Amino acid sequence: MSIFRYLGSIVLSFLNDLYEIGGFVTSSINSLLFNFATGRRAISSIIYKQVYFTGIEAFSIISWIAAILGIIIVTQVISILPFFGGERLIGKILVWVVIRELGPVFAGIIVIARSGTAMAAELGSMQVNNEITALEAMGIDPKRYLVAPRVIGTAISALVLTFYFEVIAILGGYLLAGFGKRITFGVYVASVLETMGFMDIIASLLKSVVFGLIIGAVATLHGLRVGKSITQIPQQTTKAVISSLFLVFVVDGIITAMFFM
Amino acid sequence: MAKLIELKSLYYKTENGVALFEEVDAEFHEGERVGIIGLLGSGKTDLLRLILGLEKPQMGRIYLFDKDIESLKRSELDRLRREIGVVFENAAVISNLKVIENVMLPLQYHTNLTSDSIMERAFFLLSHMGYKGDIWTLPGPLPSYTKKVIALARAMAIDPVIMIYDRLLEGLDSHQSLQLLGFIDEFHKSRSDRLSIMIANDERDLKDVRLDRILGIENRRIV
Repeated sequence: MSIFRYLGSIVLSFLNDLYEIGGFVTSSINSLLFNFATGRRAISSIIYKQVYFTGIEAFSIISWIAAILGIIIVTQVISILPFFGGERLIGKILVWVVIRELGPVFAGIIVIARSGTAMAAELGSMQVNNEITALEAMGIDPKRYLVAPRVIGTAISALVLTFYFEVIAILGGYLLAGFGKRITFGVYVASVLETMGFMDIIASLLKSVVFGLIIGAVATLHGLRVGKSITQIPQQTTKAVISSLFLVFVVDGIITAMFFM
Repeated sequence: MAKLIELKSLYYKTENGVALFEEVDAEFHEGERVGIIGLLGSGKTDLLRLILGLEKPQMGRIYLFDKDIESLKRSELDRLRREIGVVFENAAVISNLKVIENVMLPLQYHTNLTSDSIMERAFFLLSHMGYKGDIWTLPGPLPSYTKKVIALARAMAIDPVIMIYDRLLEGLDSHQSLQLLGFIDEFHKSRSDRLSIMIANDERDLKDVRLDRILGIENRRIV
């Protein structure tokens, strides 16, 4: 197979995945918006649970990873700064690296690892145990009751986690930058705020919401693809992780190009 | 008596190409208690899925409450399905909802009742059926009989017109079977227009069940 054919097949498969996921998200959210009142209480309760599991319960692991990442970035920056022009560059580099890129991507990866896998396995197991059929038999649309609230809950959580990740990474960076009084807190924060523009914030928040929608949709889509065999649960869970990671990185590239090229 | 379910010249072949029903006609009326028997693989569960609109026949028509289900929109079909209570063979209780939440689910989803009245109704049904465990526990580890009690309470919660019990008594001892049959009998009588359908593998499984007629699935037809 020629390299062009190979690349073409990757692009086509990506577009196909994106189309399918887009359709899945749209039809799920549509089912929620259409006839809004039906099942509102039951659906809101799932959104709360999803935000609790994906967002609140992830704060502890996010805190550690963000703080360590902040320290690592500042360590690297301090080690090369004498050659490039002083501590004032710390803020610029943190904004470029953490807010524009690593915040949304790392939060996304953590959401995939913790919640994407859990959602795919949970829905897969519900499928095997006939629970999805039972819901349909009760007149409960699984897209409306199971998919839409999970996708919305994951998007809200990804947004909050990304913001939290960025704040902790920047504060974590100061732990090292401030250590030994290389730089005062005021100078450090001012340097970050000076660099941070409106577009940086919008790009970061947009990425986090889109990643959340992708992760929620991919995980539930693969969970519902499980048939009647229990062995399909790990298979679909693995596929959900791989697809989510791939899509998150590709979409990250697209949004970065849209905003900063 | 009004027809609640009607199958007209039904032809159904599974995804694997196995023909399960050919030229099937059947009617189920309000107030009736009907048994449906058939050997393993004869298409009992497929018939249930067809009636619920979860599968589509290749030919023929299925009418629920005089409405052709193929012509209905998803939301209209869901509205009809809320009038049908189904208890599946494996109970199919929702594993990530607690016991009481399982019973509350159809009421929470389909009605505007207050949370207190929903909780009260769910608690009444569970205690009436002799559920003595923790209502705030997840149902996963509970024994099969208890799961069937929860599924029965969930199906009855919204007071549907049609009740379908898919091999409900399988795997239960005679005492447990008689207890569930008592609840089913009482529930059937509580509404004069209620249609109850009991699906089983064998006529012997229905020996303790009060039925008006028994239909058999044989050679791709209902006889």
